[in-house]
Parts: sequence; structure tokens; C-alpha cells
Amino acid sequence: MEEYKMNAPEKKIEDQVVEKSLPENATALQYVEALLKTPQAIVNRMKGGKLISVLTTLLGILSFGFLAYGLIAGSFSGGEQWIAAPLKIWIGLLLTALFCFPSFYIFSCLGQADISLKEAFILMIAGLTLVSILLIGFAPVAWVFSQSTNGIAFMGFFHLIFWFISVAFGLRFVFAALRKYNTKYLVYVRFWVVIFIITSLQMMTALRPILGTSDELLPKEKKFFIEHWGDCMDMKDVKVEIRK
Amino acid sequence: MESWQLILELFMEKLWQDLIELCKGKPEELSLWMDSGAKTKLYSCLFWIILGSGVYGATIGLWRAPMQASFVAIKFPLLILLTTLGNGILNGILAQLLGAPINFRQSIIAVLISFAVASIILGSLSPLICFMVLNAPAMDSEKAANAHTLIILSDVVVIAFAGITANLHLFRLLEFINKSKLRASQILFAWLAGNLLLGGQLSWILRPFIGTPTAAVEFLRVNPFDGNFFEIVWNMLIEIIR
Repeated sequence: MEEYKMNAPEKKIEDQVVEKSLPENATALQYVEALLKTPQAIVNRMKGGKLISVLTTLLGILSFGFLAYGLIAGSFSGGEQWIAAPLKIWIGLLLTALFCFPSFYIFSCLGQADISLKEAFILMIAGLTLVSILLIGFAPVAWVFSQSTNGIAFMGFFHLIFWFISVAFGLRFVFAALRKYNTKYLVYVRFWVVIFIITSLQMMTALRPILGTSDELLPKEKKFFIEHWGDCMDMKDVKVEIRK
Repeated sequence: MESWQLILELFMEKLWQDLIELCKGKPEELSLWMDSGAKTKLYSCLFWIILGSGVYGATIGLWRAPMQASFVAIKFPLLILLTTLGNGILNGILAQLLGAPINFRQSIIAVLISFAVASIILGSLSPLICFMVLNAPAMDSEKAANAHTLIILSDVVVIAFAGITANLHLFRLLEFINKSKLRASQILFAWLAGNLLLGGQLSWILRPFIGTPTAAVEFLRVNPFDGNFFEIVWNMLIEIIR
């Protein structure tokens, strides 16, 4: 039996924070603060039931965040991108979450997490909500660069950096929450992270252009994201509208 | 609620619980699956193998043609089940020779458990593989060869991951049953070698799976028993060395 003893987990920052619970009718701002400062409060709220209200609030914050950041991304080219970019980012990332969810749940179970299907879904959405909050934080920086550069590749690079940093914090929340669900092996979810990132990058490529303009709303030619990046670096098939 | 609806709901709930137990892979729970009274666990393994690997097979065949997808949805679970059955006696013999306190039926169930875990993982990754396939350059495009290579590579990575995870689960189960890491390693290695031998050749006979762009869409190639999986791999290695 001693072979199966786990080593005692290291005390993480999240464990040191005073555990709080969100009030019954918590506002969106309270959810935002909880995601940023006391993630345990979100987990407690989930474990307390009323998952639908948690889910709808998180989806609301997430949608606002992605649409707002999409507006900033769309401001680079203007024109149709004012509407297309926010919609593509919002729908694309929700679709990414949907495609990645079955593997997220299975990989959590592989790690021996005591989590239900609904809780796992809300957890993933909570992580994505934190990503959207961070993207809102980066939005002013992204806007400044959008207005002062014409280089699509350069701008795309910045958006990718902001995306990776935001995802890193979002996933930090997910890992911390999974520990609260008695997850023994996080390695499987770490592998899932790679899958999630690749899928999100491919999704944005499938919905291109988000920066730049095109005659069609969605591309006719199918490409993998690495090839698309290569083409952007070579400025192939990429237009940039001159901003007024 | 009608009684058949109630039965169906209970059945689905049982299957779902079994899926969670399979994924968690706690050896003290999975060892109970090998009891003689646990017939429903055998059916559960078969269900998840057919569903998980069938859905995954359909996604990898989809790039070549929808018909190829339906063929592979049948062939992938068939490959797993034929490998398990074909090696059933051998695996039982090897396990008992190496000192495992299990019989032939229990060794088959242990192998089915690991294949069920692999199939569940493959099934969960199917939406992503499907998304990748739908984003790949079409078969008749000039980049079809690159797309074909990428799909094969992704397939290898995903199957390798599923296989490694499933075998880790199997190793923990064997270790729990045998109370010995060494014996568990020996049995696992012996089973893997046998499954590789038979499974490799069966995968050659049951080809194509992904499908070559230049070849016709067929359930099996003409003269499927022509050739030998290991001979082909050997010849490819020699080509590379030369």
C-alpha cells in the first residue's frame, strides 16, 4: 500500500489565499475579481450547485472580453473587420473550447480528477473567461500598436504573444482548480494544453483573415496555421487596407 | 417514465460510470472488473472500444472520402478485437508462465481494459482530428501529399499517446494483481510484443486506413494477404539507409 502513497503536494499560492465563496447573486465584477484573486471562490461556487447561473455569468464575461478584444484586432484594418474580427474571435474560441472539451474531460479523468462532466465544462469556461479578462487588459497595448504599424506579421506576432500569456494564466487557474478536485496526475492535462493551443491557432487560421482584409469573409483555400504564418511573413495573398 | 426508458437511462449511467473508472485507472477498482461475476464490465469494454475507436477511425478516413470514413469506422475496432482474440490464448499462457495469478478469461479482460482506455482517448480526440482533417488541403489539391503526411504523423502521435497511457493503466493493474513490479513489467512486455506482432500484420491485412490519394477507396486492398507488415517496414528502413 505504501507504493501508492502520494507525496504531499507543495503549498501553492492559491492554497495560501483565504478561501472565500461568491455570494448567491454575485455580479460579473465579483466573478472577475474572484477569477483574478481568489479562484477557490469559483470552485466553491461550482461545488455549491447552481451551475447554470455560474455558467451564464462566465459566458457573459467571456463573450464581452473576446468581442472587445476582437474590436481592437479589427481596428488594425478597419472596414468590415470592425464587425468580422470580433465575431470570428468570439465564435472561433467558443468552437475551440467545444472541440477540445471531450479530451479535456477524459484527460482530467485520466489524471483521476473527481469532477463531473458539467463541472469540467464550467471549469474550462472559467479558464477561458480568465483568458478573456487578460486580453481586455492587453487591449490598450494592442490598440496602440494597431494604430502605429502597418505590418501584419508584426501585429500578428503581438496578438500571439498576448494570447499565449493570457492562456498561460487561464491554464494556471485550471490546474489550480483541478488540484481542488483531487487530481493526482496533471501531466495528461498538460498534454491537453498543447492540443488546445494548436487547435486555437488553427481555428484562427480557418477563420482568417482577422488582421488584414480579404474579398471573402472566410477563406476558400485550406491551410495549416504554420503555412499561413509563412505566407504572412512573405506577404503572400495578404492585403492591408490603408487606414483613413 | 416508461420502463424501457428507465432501463436505458440506467444502462447509460452504468456505461458512463464505467468510462470514468476506466479513465481513472485505479487498479483496486479495475481488478474487480476481472471477477467472474463482472460480465457487464466485459460488455462495457466492448462498447467503449467499438464506439471510441470507431469514431476515431471515421475521422482519419474522412480526408480520403466519406466512404473511407465508414470503412475505417468498422475496421479500426475490428483490428483491436481481432488482435485481442487472436492473442487471447497466447496472452493467457504467457501471463501464467510468468507467474500471474490470473486465468485466460482474466487476461483477455485485462487486455480489453487497456484497449478500452486507448479507444476512449482516441474517441475524445476525434473532434480535434476531424477539425484538422477538414482544414487539411483537399485530396485533389497540389498540397495533398503534405496533407497526407501530416495526417499520418498526427495519427501516429495520437495513437502513441493513447497506447502509452493505456499501457500505463495496464501496468498499474498488473502490478496490483501480481504485487510485483518486475513480474508486471515482464507480463506487459510479453503482451505488447505479441500484440505488436499480430496487430502489425492485421493492420497490414486490413489496410487502407487513412487511404492514399492515388489509390481507390476500398474496404480492403486486392489480395490483402499479400505482403508482410514487418517485411515492408524492413524494406523501407533499408531504403532509408541506402
